[in-house]
Amino acid sequence: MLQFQIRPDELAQEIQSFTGKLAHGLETLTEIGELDVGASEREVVYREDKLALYRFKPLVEQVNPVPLLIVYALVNRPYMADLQADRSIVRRLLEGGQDVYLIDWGYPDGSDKYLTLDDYINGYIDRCVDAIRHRHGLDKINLLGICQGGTFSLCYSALHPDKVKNLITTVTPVDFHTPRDLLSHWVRRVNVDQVVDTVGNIPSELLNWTFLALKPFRLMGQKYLDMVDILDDPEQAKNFLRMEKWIFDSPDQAGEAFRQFIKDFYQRNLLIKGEVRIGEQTVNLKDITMPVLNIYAAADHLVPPDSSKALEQYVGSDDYTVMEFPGGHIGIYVSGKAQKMVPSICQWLEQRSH
Amino acid sequence: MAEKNERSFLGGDWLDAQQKYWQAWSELYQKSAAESSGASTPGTQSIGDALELWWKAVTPAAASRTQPFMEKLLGQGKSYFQATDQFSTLLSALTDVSKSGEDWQHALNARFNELKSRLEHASSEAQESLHRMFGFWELPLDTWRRTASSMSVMPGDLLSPLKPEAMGPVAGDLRKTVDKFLSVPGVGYTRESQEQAQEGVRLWSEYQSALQEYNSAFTHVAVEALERLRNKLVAMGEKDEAITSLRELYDLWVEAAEEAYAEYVFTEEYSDAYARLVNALMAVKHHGQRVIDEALGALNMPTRGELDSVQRRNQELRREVKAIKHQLDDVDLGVINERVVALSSELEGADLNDLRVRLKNLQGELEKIDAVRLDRDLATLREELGRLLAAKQDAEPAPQPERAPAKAATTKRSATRRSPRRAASAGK
Repeated sequence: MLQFQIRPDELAQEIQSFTGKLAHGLETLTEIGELDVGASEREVVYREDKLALYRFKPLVEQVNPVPLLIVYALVNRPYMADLQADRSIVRRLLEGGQDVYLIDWGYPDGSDKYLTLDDYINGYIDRCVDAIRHRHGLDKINLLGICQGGTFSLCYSALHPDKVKNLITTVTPVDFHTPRDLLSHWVRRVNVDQVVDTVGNIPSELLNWTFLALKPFRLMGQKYLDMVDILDDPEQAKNFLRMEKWIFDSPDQAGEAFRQFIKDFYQRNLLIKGEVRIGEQTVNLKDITMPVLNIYAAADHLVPPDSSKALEQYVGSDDYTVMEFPGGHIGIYVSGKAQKMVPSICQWLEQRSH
Repeated sequence: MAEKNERSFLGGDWLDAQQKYWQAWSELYQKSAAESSGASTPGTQSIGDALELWWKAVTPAAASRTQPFMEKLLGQGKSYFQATDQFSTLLSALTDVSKSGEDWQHALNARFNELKSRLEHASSEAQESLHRMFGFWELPLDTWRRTASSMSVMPGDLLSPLKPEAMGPVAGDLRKTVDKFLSVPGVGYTRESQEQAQEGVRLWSEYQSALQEYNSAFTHVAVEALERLRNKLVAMGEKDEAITSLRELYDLWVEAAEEAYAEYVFTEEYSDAYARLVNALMAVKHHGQRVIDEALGALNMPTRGELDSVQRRNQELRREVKAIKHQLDDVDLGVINERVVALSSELEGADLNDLRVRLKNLQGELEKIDAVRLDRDLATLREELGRLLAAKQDAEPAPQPERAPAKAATTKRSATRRSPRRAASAGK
């Protein structure tokens, strides 16, 4: 028999408790001060247009002689991998003896709308890699790509295998037509040319709406009720607000690069067909011959595991390792479990960097 | 399991609960009202209104930068209480039914079917009110409207007052009027601008249809979510499980909605509706941009198209500059320095006076040359050379292929037969 066991006085108490928490939260939010994001000390070692290349201050004396460059997705900000001290992939890598560099893409504006994937991959990424190689007097460096940055890293490694010693891809889409790829399913019939010709750069609001619409009731509703429950704890409230910033502080997307990424990757799935053209060159994943570590998230709702795992079929490397992270697309960077995963990455790099 | 719900939920208990809430709320209100003035007094409004009133009362005490965030929380709170208010009322009634010995599952089905039917068959106005009642149905759509508005060439959702659901009973008439307007052919001096206006209205009309279609898709999700919630409640009832808090009910509701949504958005039907919505919105905006560009051009102002050209050229120049810089970076300055030093030292060691004397002598010799005679001699030499070359050509035998295959030799022979002059020459 169905039982609804809430007495009216309990109901009143629940409502009172909710408004009480809101009132308390108001006080917490008023006193919370500025939100600090980006936990690790860093310096700018190279600048170009709106891009900045950071080098993080090493935390151990004996660092890996081969530096590691992190390339994240154009939709994110650099602190996505360095949110706060206890939720920072960058910090765990530094503690693990890696010499970490990271590209900050900046916020593209109207003057950047004709940036192409060629400009990003053979331009920005290549010049950052060269800057690091020059600083360290090395032919090759290690590369770590995140999400779309992982796809860029795959293209770069295929086109410039002489400059990449080891490649790590995390939650990286490779096969864009797997059955559970909701983003791909949605954009398949969208007239991307018309979108780009109309709005130029793609507004971050549109992208955020798309990401939220993947789980709207959880991400636009229930999450904020969870927030009310923790509002009386300033530290927890701060953590929540940092995540909000993490999610909503999204740069607009350079129009031409977006056009090609959606058409060639999401709509035509050309990467695995070996037909993606970056500038004058064709990307063939078989040209990726350096060691590859591919990490996917088992509960990823943005990049389905199958999309990432497909890499194994197409990559040319004899030294291919795949690792499963027991969490979701965002959890892989900010969760406690993610912090525990990093030593394995450092170990993998150590074994292949000498 | 202990029975806690002794009295009828729909009776005086609910009012009693509300009263208790108001007492609690009133205390909070009075506290914040003491810090501000002019706030209204609490009445007997719904929970949503009560929260709204409470928020208005406490807003002056809140820092401006925290207000948008708090409003978001408050909005979700309202949705939460509105949704759970509906379902808790329904479930309480069912609990009473079950105590009276009636078939509770039958009663549950009847209530849910009634809700689904209201969602599916209500007028667009009533449907919107139902959506509001269920709170968060509006979430994806509302966010879409804000997103669409943020990309608009005009601030705000300019078309919002003309939405079909807002037009209500006149929507059909409006469509007929629009169709009539679109069917009028453009003539004369204003022909082009009339066509442009017609095209704008046509695109707007298509966008409104796409939006309405998308809205209907969410009604489909709402109905399916109700079905799933019903199934979850039945499953709980069969296991004798109880719902002991509003939050538990709300979480169950979110779970049901996410499941229904996740299933629906993978269908081709949704994919089509989504693409039509985005494509239709972009077509309207693109047309609007063209119209604005023409107006700007008429005012001798810079247009979007012109700015696009400048930005495209700017990007091309950036690429060229970077390529040149890259080439310069590749140049080995050390080697160039060495060559410059070597050339400098050679110059330093040279006897410049001696060079000057030699140059003067050469100039003197050049001046003595009779240029006219030189030209004549040169022409004579050219003629002689021409004659010699012609004579040599005639005297040369035809070239023989080295180790040529038999077929090639035959061909060669045939060629020889076809050229009597060449054959005669060869016989000489």
